[in-house]
Amino acid sequence: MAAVTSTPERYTVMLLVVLGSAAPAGVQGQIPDPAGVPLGLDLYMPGQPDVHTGPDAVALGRMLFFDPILSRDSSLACASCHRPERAFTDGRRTASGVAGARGSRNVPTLVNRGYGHSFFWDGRAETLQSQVLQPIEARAEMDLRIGALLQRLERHGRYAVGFRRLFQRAPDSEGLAQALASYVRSIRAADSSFDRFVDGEREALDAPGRRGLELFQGRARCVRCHLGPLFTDEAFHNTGIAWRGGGLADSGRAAISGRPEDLGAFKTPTLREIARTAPYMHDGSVESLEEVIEFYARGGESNPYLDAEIRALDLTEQDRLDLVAFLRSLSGRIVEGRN
Amino acid sequence: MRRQTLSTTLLLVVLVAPCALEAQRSSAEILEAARYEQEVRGDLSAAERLYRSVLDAFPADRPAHARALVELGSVYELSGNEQAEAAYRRVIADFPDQSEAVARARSRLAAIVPESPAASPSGIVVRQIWSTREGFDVGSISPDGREVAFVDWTGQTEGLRGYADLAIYDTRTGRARLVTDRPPQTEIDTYIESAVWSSDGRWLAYVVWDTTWLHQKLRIVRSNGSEDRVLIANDQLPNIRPMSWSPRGDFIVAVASGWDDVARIVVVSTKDGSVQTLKTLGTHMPWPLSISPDGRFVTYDYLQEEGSTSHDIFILAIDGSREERVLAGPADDDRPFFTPDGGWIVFRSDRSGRRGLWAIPVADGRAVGEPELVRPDLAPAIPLGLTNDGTLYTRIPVRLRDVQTARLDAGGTGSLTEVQPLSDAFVGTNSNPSWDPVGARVAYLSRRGPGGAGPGHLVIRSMADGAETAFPLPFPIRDGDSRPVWSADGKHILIEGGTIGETTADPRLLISYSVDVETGQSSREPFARDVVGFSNGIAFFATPRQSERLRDVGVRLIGHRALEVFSGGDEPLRPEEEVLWVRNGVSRMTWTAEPSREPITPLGHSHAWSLSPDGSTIAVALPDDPERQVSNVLWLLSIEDRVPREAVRVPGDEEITAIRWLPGSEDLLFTVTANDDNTSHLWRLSVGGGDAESLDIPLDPAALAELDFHPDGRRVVYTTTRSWNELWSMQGLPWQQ
Repeated sequence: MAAVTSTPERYTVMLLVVLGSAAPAGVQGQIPDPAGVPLGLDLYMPGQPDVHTGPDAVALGRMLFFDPILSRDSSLACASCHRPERAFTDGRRTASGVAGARGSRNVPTLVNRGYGHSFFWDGRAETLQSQVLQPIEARAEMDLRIGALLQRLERHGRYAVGFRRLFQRAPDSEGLAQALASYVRSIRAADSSFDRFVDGEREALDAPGRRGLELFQGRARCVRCHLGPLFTDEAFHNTGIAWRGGGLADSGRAAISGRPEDLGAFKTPTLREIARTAPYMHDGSVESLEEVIEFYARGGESNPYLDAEIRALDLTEQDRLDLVAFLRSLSGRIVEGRN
Repeated sequence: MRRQTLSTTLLLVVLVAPCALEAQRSSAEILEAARYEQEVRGDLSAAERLYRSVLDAFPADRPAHARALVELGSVYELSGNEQAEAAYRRVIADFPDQSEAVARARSRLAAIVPESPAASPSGIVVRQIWSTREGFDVGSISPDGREVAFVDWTGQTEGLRGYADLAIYDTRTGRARLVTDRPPQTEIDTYIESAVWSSDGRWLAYVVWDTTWLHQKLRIVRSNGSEDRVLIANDQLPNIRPMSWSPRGDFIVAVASGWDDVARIVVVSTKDGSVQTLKTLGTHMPWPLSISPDGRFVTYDYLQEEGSTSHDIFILAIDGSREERVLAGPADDDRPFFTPDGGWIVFRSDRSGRRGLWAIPVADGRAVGEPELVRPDLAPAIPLGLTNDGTLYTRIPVRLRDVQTARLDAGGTGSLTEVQPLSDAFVGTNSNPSWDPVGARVAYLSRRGPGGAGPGHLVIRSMADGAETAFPLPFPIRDGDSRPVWSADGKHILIEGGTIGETTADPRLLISYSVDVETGQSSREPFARDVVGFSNGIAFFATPRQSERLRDVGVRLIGHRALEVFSGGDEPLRPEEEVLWVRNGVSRMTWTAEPSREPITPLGHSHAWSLSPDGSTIAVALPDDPERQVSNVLWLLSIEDRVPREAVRVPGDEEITAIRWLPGSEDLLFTVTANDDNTSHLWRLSVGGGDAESLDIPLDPAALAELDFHPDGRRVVYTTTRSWNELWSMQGLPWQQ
């Protein structure tokens, strides 16, 4: 059974303590200690400057993440849509914003995003820092100007103090992005049955799960896009899911890249915790894992921009059950709030 | 007066017309015209004028500008003009984004600029330690520099036996000994693949394939052969290669490809074999990875970006806390090693225009200074590692290939006479000969550079007067899959290669080019060609005659790894097409979303198969027992009726290693290699019936695999290969002072 572990009180206290510089890099010459990194993930997390990413930044980011002060009418926090118990998704088809506003895309999970290279379904943000501020200002989401938010933060003593201790200045957008990104980086998910199986624990996957893994790597071709420890190539593919009535309901990546070949293409989502993040696809149009497999088995939705990797699959009923069993084995342990 | 005016007008027209024409042409057209003037007509002045016109007329076209400058440099070289060096340096300085042009400029610069005496650090002593046919292509020098660990493939050194054991060569005594004790290859055909010494020189980590061939095992053993044990036998890490042992010996850094074929840097505990992934990489497996003397960092090279052929150098903290890209492009920096004091990373780089040895000062996992040149010219030596006293050991692979011409009489007991080199130009770099349809010319490939590893050229040699025309190929070639095939009219040559502009060919990508034998111009051809044979690593593509026959019968013939190319290439297979797939036997394929395979011949490990020149019959060597993987039975399969028949069976301790048809398609030659002493003999078989006959002709399988018959069926051209490895040491290096 998956679990989410956190200790917010500890971080609130830590935030108010001036910490020393970053911890030294391990004991010299000894085998690395993977504590805090669930089995199956890399020890090294890329892409972040080594300043302001310590526990105090994570703690400040965590407070912000769970605080509805970040939305226009103070009704929604980041965590309202990215709910920890749902692997940081919300279970709805598309995102829900302030005053009943509806977005057009499904809320993506935040697990393991610190390892990512592009963000949002269309990859419009290249770093977590640039990603975390966008939902705050988006009209269909939190609908609050950053300037107004900074004024609010300045009026709240814990933030005014927290920003000054961490960044030696009043709350500003750079510090806000840094703190939120630091917290999101701390959200890691792995240590699943699959990970234990790969680590050599032969009984960790049952027979359907093992058959499902074989299909996943082989005939079902899933591994063509869902690979690596995150089960994503972080690239963009047109599966046809946006093709509706002879046209594209969402131009996807092409709106960012300007390239026709990206029309209707969306980023490959991670499969970590996939059993807990229904509904699926960028528009939440597929309700269950069984339906996802059915979609790919019939070769996606034919359209002029369909990715070459998407082909019809000859899957038996047992194959489909096995694939679902394997996908369910990707649920494990989520840790968050740790540096 | 009128005549004078007319003459002046004509003169003006003559002078202006070419310029006007050039103004209307694209930069590519002018460049090709210039190349024609330079290489075909030999008019250097005309070529120079055209290249200069590109520089003047297309200032914003950077690819054309860079290429014109490089070509201009080559014209200057040929005409003895000292401006050549300046032209090449300008390309390197001003067009770092034009990788092909920069690579060519660097290559030429290295060739024409003599090494500066001032640049040679005094006191560096280079010595040859060992010259051998044994292979030691992985980091395997003991920390004290006394011993070399390698895989005993040949058994040619005294004390060895060729069972793919882990072995050690003592550089002081010149003696070799076995570390492991494996059964003969005829009993178990798996093998040991790489080895790395522990920091104290007492242990070796090595990998061996599992007998299922599905994954490798990482093992450790004392250097005296005792305490040999499995450290990892995890089939979810199919490929694993140990790279560096920690200073305390408590862990090994390795590179493994996981369940998804993605490479990962992993840390393996030598105590319990537990594995932690330090960093997930991509499709490329780097070599080497060197641990810092304090055990806190590892340095490695990786592609500048996926798909690139140039590398950058990184330092990654062993605890995963951070990573630094110490050296970033455009130079190709690779093969990094920490010096024994940890104060430098030594690496190989082409940043000076030639591949030299460099070092960069480092501290606490970061660069603390600029790269410094240690030795300007390292090529073709490949760094293997540093010993405890800072001595650098390198390997120089030597592979000399030459095209021979001879008269082959395959009748009676046979004879091979009048053997002589086809060409005396660029000796040691020539291979893959092919007669034109009427036997007047021979086309062959030439890798013109040190060790026969330079840029590829297609050479057309007239057999009447020995005149040769060499065309530099704009795409990288491989020894295999690059055999020239003449068009039926003798005007073009089809050849396979990599992507234009790259320096090495991506093994997963096969592109077909048509080269005009008059101009040398290359154009990409739709890849719809049948693969009609495979021997000794060489894939053969259909001649026009064979293609016509296959189309008449209505099948596509695909072999080797080309299936993937066809499945998504320029002319993908259609569901209704019947495909004969030849890979470890012949199968009929149904090309649907889920391809099925229906065996026609028995299946099993195969070294050789070949389609007859008239396209009627496939000859394929297969094992009589699929479990033994020794292909000792020759099968003949008619393309018409798809019914195989056994033609030849040799004893189980021998193997059919190469097959070549005679021009009439009625006889074929094949080599039989004895597994115990690796000797080969040539045999002839008449497909009409009768027993195979042994010929008294000394020809090894590799030569037969590349042999091509003149249309008269007597004269032949083929490739001979001589290869060995040299181990060198380099002392007196700056960090040893």
